[in-house]
Amino acid sequence: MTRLKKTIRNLVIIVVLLFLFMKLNGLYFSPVQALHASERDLHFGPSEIVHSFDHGNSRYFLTRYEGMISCSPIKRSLGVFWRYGAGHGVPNNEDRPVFTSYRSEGNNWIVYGMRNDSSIARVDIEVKNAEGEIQVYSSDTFYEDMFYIIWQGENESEVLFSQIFAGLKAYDDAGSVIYDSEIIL
Amino acid sequence: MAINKGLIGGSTPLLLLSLLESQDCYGYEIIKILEERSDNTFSFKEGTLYPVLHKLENEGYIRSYYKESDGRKRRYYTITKKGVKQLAEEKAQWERFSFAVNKVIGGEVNAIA
Amino acid sequence: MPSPKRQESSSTRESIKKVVKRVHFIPDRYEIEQELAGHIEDSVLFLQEEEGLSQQEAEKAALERMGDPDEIGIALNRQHNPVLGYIWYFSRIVLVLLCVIVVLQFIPVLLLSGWTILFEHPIRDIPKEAYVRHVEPNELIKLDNRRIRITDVVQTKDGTLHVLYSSYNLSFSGLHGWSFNNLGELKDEDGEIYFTGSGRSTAGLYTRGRRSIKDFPFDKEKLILEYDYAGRCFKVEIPLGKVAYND
Repeated sequence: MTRLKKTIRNLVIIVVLLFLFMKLNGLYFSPVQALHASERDLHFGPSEIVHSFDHGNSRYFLTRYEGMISCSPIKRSLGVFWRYGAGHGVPNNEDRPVFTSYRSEGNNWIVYGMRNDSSIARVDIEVKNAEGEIQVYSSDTFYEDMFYIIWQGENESEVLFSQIFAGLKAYDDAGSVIYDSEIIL
Repeated sequence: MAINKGLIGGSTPLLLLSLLESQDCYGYEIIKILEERSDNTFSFKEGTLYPVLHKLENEGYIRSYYKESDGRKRRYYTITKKGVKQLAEEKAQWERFSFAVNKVIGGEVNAIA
Repeated sequence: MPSPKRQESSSTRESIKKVVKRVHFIPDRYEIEQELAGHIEDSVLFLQEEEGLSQQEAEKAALERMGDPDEIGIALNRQHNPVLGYIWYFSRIVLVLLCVIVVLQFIPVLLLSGWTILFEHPIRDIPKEAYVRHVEPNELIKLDNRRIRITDVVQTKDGTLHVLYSSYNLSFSGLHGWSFNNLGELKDEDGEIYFTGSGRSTAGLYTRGRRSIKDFPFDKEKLILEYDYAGRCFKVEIPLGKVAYND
């Protein structure tokens, strides 16, 4: 077999093996594909992506689907691929002016949610750090009524969200408090 | 009469394939057989043989392998099926070519040959 | 027989190096060097024997007969294309690597799935003497890419109802992902939902599992599996027949 034929044969086999490799490891070429594939196996979605942002080694997708919201991180893998991972959402509770949920991984904490009252212009989260001091993190940007607040805190394996969560406040553009809550979920 | 050229023009593949059809040879052997069979008509720079051999191998007409003899490992060349076909093609082309040349330079008598 | 020591002098080596310097695909250089060196050696031997030249004279003549090293090198380089050469070279490495990785990862999955298909039959854990009802509904549940086939429903004397199923995923995510066997809510024909019980299934490409619910009434005659969430739904009704009272 000439070198050219051998090379072509090798490349064809490589493509097949690469496909198998990706299947064996839940890898995809695009994060959106990985997201929708994960969602599908969780019997959710395909959700409508409202906003996406990168944080650490993952891309987070703020999505909406059938009255549910989600903030799913899809991790980068081997530089080029994206890995199958999170996907499920939580149902929005429209009785509350602001509905939130949270996600944690390592020291990364995210509170994400939906404003059911469009007069809300800013959301504050109060959390206790290791020394017991209260820190406030906030967001005043809304993506089709969804928002997220991200911060570095203690490692999630060492502490429960309920232990560090101190409160949630929502303000309108005049600065007055519309909603104040001790529950987050 | 020695034809001294770098390569014997386009008929080198024809010569080499024809040699290899009857037996497998290594490079130096090919040079010797060519010199001998052609009564030294073909004598050219020996190193220029190898690019032609490698080209024929790239095209799939011949294949190389290593064989040990007299305690030395030599690279032998053998003709492939594709090479046998190509040889027949080239022989036919050569016959057409020399027939046409003879016709032009020799007149009627040579044309029948 | 040991190979004779190659008596190359520096001028032969130099000439050969000159030739291969023109060959830009480096991995092929060694082979070419060997081939040319062998030729020159044969030539030198011949010239010494047949024409009585001295070692030095023979070598000079042999090299002269070879021709211009640069010309030969350039012509050879045309036959050893570096682009194709390097692509071929690296394709071999990548191929071997990928082969090893894929085989190492794939074999356990294949073995596990093969084992499941051949040997895992959760229904055999239920002793036949305990059966009071047994049906083979052969119903297929389709939920996104998952296919769950309800193969048997068995009720035992203690009232437990066992649902036996086999399952696979059309997108082969059993190769890496979680195996999610959702049977929906288990109800009877009057809408009563049954929660308590247990479940167990294998992993891999093809799985078999068992979901057991406690205290399913003997007088209820249908098991209904119902799912309705996030835009997907299914409803499977399984008639159970009457309980066979043997004593």
